[in-house]
Amino acid sequence: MAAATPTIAPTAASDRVVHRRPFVVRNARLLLVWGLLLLLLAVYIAQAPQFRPREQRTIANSGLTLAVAGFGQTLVVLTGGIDLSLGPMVSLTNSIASEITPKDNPKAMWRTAVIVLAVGALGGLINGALVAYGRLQPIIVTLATASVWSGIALYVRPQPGGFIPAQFSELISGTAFQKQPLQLPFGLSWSVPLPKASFVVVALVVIWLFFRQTRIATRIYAIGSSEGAAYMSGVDVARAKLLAYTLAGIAAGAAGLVTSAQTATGNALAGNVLTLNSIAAVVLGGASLAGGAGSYLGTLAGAYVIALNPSVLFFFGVSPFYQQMFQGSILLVAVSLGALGVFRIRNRMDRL
Amino acid sequence: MALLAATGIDKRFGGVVALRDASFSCDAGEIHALLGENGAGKSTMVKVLCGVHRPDAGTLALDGKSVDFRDPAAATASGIVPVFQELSLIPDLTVAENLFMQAEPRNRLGLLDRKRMNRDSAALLGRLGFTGIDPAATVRDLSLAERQIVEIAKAIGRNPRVLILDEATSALNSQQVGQVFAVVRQLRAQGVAIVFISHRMDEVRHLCDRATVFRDGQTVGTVEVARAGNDEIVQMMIGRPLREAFPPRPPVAIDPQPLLEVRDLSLGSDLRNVCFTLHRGEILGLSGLEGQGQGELLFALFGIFAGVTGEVRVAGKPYHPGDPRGAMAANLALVPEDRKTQGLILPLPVGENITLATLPDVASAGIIDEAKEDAATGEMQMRLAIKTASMDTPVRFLSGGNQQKVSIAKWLLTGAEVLLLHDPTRGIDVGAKLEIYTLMRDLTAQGNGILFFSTDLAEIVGLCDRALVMYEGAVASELSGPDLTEANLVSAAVGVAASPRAATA
Repeated sequence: MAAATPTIAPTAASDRVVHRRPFVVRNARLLLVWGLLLLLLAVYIAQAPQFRPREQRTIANSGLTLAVAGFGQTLVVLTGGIDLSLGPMVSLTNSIASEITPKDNPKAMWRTAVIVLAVGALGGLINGALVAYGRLQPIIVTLATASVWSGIALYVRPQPGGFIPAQFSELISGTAFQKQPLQLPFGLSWSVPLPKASFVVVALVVIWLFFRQTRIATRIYAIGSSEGAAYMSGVDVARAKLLAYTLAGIAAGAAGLVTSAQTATGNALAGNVLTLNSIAAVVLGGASLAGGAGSYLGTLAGAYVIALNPSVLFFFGVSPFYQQMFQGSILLVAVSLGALGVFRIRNRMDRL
Repeated sequence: MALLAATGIDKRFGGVVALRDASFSCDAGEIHALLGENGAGKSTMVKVLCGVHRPDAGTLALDGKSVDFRDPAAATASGIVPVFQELSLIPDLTVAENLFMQAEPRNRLGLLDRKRMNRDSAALLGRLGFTGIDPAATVRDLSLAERQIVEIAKAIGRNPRVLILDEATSALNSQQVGQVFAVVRQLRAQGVAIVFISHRMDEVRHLCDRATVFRDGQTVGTVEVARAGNDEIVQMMIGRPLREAFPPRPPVAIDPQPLLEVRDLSLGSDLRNVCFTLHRGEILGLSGLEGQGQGELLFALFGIFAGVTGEVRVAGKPYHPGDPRGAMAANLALVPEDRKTQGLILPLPVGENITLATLPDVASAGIIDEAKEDAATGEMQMRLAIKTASMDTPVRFLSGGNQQKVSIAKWLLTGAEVLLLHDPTRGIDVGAKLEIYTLMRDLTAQGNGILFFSTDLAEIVGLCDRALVMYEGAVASELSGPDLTEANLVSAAVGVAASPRAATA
């Protein structure tokens, strides 16, 4: 039997060469948020009466808790989830840290740090287990655990107070090389003062760059991008989610430590604002709330944009009453610019 | 001894039996086709073989030893590697990251060795003859054909013992298909077993050694492809009597003025120059294997897709499909496939569902006039014989057939004349099906025209006046009168039609 096959028109794909998109296109959102940050910094430096190590330290410290907490939020958002319990976990760990460090033994702060990070990990593990194995919606799970963490924080520390060693505050939020230059080999020395918070930022960037080169990072991007395809590719979806939430919990614990250092006290409400601000930083940084796309490098810039915003607005004489409005507007503009890339999708029902 | 054997497999999804005592086995060094109509059980069998579904009963044996795959990863670890039409690629990762998913090379620090990943990926793609894809490109930026190539490369990179290709070449052009086949033959020579599912009969003829035919979830038999004729295979695929009774076709009294005229309707590679006309009083069937553009055609006409080109006239007036509101204004109605999510709002009462698309007609000054609403819904209940305790019953409590009637009633109220029905009888019982058929005939008798997509061949043959068979986004064949038979529909659908493209009248 002669097969009368319908002729198949050659598709454009046949001889097309597919290249990686150019760097600028691939990293458009990242470059945008870093450009915004540099602009704000330039305005700040131009407008500020002085720019001494003191001001540098203030800037570096202002976004640090958000930068640390944002690391955790980035991981969760990359899986396609969201962590609403991040802020309350910061409050809880801050409260615990201020409660358990004995005044007569500042060195015990090390033990405190380990305990606080463990508490964060446990909280994240609970979130992750409920999401990954309980198959519950992340937004509901973390909304509920947010209330639980807040409740425990208020139980531990009903009134603000407690004790954080001054040495610890200096270690995280002080200025390095101000009194003593750093002696380097070959008789060189470094005498320009640097805010110690900048070391934390550099450490976060290094951790991210390493993390991005691990298998687990690929898994986290994969499940956020297409959970079904990841499952079909043999990815243990539940385990990757569990890990992402646990790491987010550890990041929240670390942010609790930073809060402790910066405020030198404990407060059961100290970190609550970080929940929404960390989501804003992630979105400003170019990550997709649907998961699978984004980078901590963007979140980091987003965190400092959010932190610098009030100061810059202050220099322009904007009343603090309107600052929130401006902050919201910046977020909307940034997100709208990011949405431009979505125009490729050709219908609202997304190909059914 | 067979390399991979499945014996006595049962698989049920809810109340639907997908496989019943089905068996399949393949040997090392053969290319084995799975054939069957839509819903015959091929895909379910393949998913059982590679650990996506666990069978309710029956055994799987690899090398004669019983195996039980917990998930796809377990099957892959045993060397059974599938390539599905619904892709397993991660859109936001690079080609190389996808090719090495779960098998990433790492350096001494335990970090990903991206250089090696990219180099090995380029080598793997080169081995298949596809050098035009940069391993560092993001999968999202690839065309569908390129993604299929990457998908196939990914499977071959796992060094499979059994390679399953489920419609894996559907988006490739003939040159690309040729390249893939050359590699598949090499694998066969190396002793790999290849399980091949394709809707292109000529591909099966060119490539396969044996074929196993499925029908209604059961294995019909296995044939040597070289010895079996197309007729014999098609007969094995249909091989059943008509199951349902259909209302009689009224004597043809075709209105010379066409109700819906479609010229050169195109949508990317999903629809290619589709031309047809639909007259008042007519049921025009849309057939062909699944995913050949039938659904896209209905959605495109209803204005859901952007980027549709071509000419459409409704009752002589030009109409450009832009959005569903425009389609409604042009008297088109779409009864979607999934009534539970797209057609109905399940928790709302029957009455409110019926008037949902026509609220301005039953409201005065924005307030719903209950008398008008009752009149409208009452009329529909009469006309369609909707069985419900009351109009206030939430629609989710109705049977599947009655839900579908509510879905149709909603659109009749809009005064629609052209009804686009997307597999309206899927998942409803036989009695309700018959009521839907009768309803469709009543509607055409009242002067409507129906474009009717169904995956059930018996329906197309029993109910339609004419049928278009779609193949790769184009109308491959038009059948009517005595030519409208299941055998002809199947032949046209798998691309062995004796009659070439029919007139586009």
